[in-house]
Amino acid sequence: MIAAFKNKHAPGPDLSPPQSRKDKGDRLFALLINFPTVGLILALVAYPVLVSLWISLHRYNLRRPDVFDFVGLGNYVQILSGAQFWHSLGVTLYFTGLSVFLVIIIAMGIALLFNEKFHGRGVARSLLLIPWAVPGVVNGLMWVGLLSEHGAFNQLLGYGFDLFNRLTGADVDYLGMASPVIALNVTVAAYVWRSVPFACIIFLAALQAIPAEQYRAARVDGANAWNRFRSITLPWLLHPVMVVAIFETMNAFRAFDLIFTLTGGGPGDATNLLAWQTYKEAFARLNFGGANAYSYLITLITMGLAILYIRALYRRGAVQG
Amino acid sequence: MVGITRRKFLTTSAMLGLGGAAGCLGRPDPGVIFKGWSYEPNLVQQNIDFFEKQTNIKVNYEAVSGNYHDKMVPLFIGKTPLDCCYVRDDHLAEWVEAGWLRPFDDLPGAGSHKDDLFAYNLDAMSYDGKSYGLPYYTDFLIWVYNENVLRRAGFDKPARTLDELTEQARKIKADRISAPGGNVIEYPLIFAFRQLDIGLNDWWALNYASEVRLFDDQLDPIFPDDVGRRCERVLQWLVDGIHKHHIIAPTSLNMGYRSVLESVASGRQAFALIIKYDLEWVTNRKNSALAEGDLRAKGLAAEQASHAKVLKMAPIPSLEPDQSGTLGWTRMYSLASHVREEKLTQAWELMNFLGGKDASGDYYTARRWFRLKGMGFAFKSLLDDPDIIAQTQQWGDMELIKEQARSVRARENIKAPWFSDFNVYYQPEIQKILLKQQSPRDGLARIAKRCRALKREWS
Repeated sequence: MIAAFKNKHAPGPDLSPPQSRKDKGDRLFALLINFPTVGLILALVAYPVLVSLWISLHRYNLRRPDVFDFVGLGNYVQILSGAQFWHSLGVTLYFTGLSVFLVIIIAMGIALLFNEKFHGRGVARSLLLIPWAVPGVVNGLMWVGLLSEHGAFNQLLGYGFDLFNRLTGADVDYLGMASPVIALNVTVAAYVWRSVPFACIIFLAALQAIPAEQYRAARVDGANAWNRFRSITLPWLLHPVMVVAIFETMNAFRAFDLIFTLTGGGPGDATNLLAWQTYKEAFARLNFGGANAYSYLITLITMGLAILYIRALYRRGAVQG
Repeated sequence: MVGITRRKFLTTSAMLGLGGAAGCLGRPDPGVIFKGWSYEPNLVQQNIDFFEKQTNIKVNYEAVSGNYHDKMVPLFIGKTPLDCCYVRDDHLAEWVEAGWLRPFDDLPGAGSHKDDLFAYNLDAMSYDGKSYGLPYYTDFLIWVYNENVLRRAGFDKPARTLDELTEQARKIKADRISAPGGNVIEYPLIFAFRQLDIGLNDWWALNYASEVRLFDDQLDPIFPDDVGRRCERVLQWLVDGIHKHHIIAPTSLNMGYRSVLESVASGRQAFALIIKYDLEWVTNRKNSALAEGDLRAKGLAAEQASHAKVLKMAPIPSLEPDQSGTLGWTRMYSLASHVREEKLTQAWELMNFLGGKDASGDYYTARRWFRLKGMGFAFKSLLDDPDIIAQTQQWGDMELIKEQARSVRARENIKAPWFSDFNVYYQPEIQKILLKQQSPRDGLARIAKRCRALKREWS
């Protein structure tokens, strides 16, 4: 498809009629009437982005608002040379990697299931959307309740640890959300729980676009379910996977509300994601120079990851699609 | 479209535009603009209604929902119209350094309440020798214990030292004493050790109970080599309580204060640190399963008794029996530095009403907050007020409150311009100590090193 699209737009002799004065006038008019909108977008989007970049190049703490010294890349160097950034980056990459992986796998599984015809499918599809409709802060608070000292999940995990100790003779302390490992993975679970429905909708839409003849032909050729999935379904899902991966990576990298409500970055610094560290720089320390530098670093990393995804998946999808 | 001519359209547009402009020009005076965090906004509004009635000064009050600090910062930066606002003592230095608050020593009657204020409140509301606040409320952490549980475990009085506390808690745990709901008290102790903008108050209170001094007068850290290495020993006691004796709920590391309070009210713990004014809440049968269970057992209906003294106050256990102290804080009313000149006098009057006396010379709002919510006050004379004593006796112990009020301390480095940096740094480090990811000594040494670096950076 992409090859065909490229051929259609391949360079060649320009056969379009010469531009008349009226055409030029129309184009000028179009530019003029678009100018207010473009101006508005520049004012609302480009200006803050550029100001933010400018601030990130300065030593600027609101506790000393008169000091606004240009330090060039000083804030970036300071952040990159500190252990805090690398720790937060590691935690963020783990959180993002695991979250995105789980979201894609679980959402794909549910989408495949919901693509089949069964009794009550409509109700099930509607129920699926509930986690997505829950605001992030409410989601966080819900998980706080589930994992509080007397929360259901906390009790379950406690029983699990107890059982493990009894079966193995080990003496592992169950610390609940005070355990860095549990806290981080529970945060992932809470994120995945809320993000799966969106990914599922994307996959479901893509599944419904797969021509039924392809499956019929594969069956005639004797392909089993796994082969049909691998050779037909998966290639068709590669573009949606890319969309979901980019979208969820960006979201996971910026995860803030969950940390705010669920862990506060703790225990220790086990869930101190980059976005949370940025928030602390900006609003707890009022270090706006550093916080803006952090924001740009997050932007650069997510952009880099998005490019990687596109290169890895888009090309693959184009060949097989 | 039918019936609308170009002339008609232009005329209507012009009239609408003029009308809008006239509306803007004729906008009514908003009065004194006053903002505060959203604690009981209806009661605040009632106080303001009373003030407006007494003085004929109009006040535009807004309760700021969500994180107050984070919401106020952009308001100050953007110079959003604001005359008077709530300020927390731990933000005072930051907000003064940023130039957002106005001192009021030059205003008439400034300092009129000074003699009646507790010294630590007065100190908390000033910075660099200038006055910035009048008290909204003040309070401190108190130690409460469940007398019934203690008796069932065979103790007739609460622990005075941390070692005794360990012994009592271990006995309660070993005896599998149950809470009102039937659940066994798994962890007799719980603390609010979640990382929050207010900091780890329970940690400070435990230190102050053992008379730990963390900083010298120049705000250089004394720990971890403070007198008798008390700070380190207090931390070691906590670590042992979580990991060795299993008497402190590990979930403490993820518990905010409200969760701790609710857990205590449900009777799931035998000991806790709570804010003094919450003793009213936690002994009120409307909020507390513990109080409700006790009053029911005594056959007392709601009309007959509203509170049950199921949780009792005691001095916070310390390393040695003769030590005492606790953490206190001050919330205040302050003038914004960009207070509108024409509203300055009125805003100052409002501040004096809210943080001082009304037109009849009564501490109206302080008394009312206490009466309705049990909230602490910064005025010494109110401690001897018969109404306040009578009300306190319903749920607390006035003599003990007076005694503890004498040993209240604010966080020693609260006025350092680097306090908020310290606040962000020390909490994860303390949590790492509690998780045994580092030893108390190493963790404290790291925090001390960071304090010295921050001091250098900000000097």
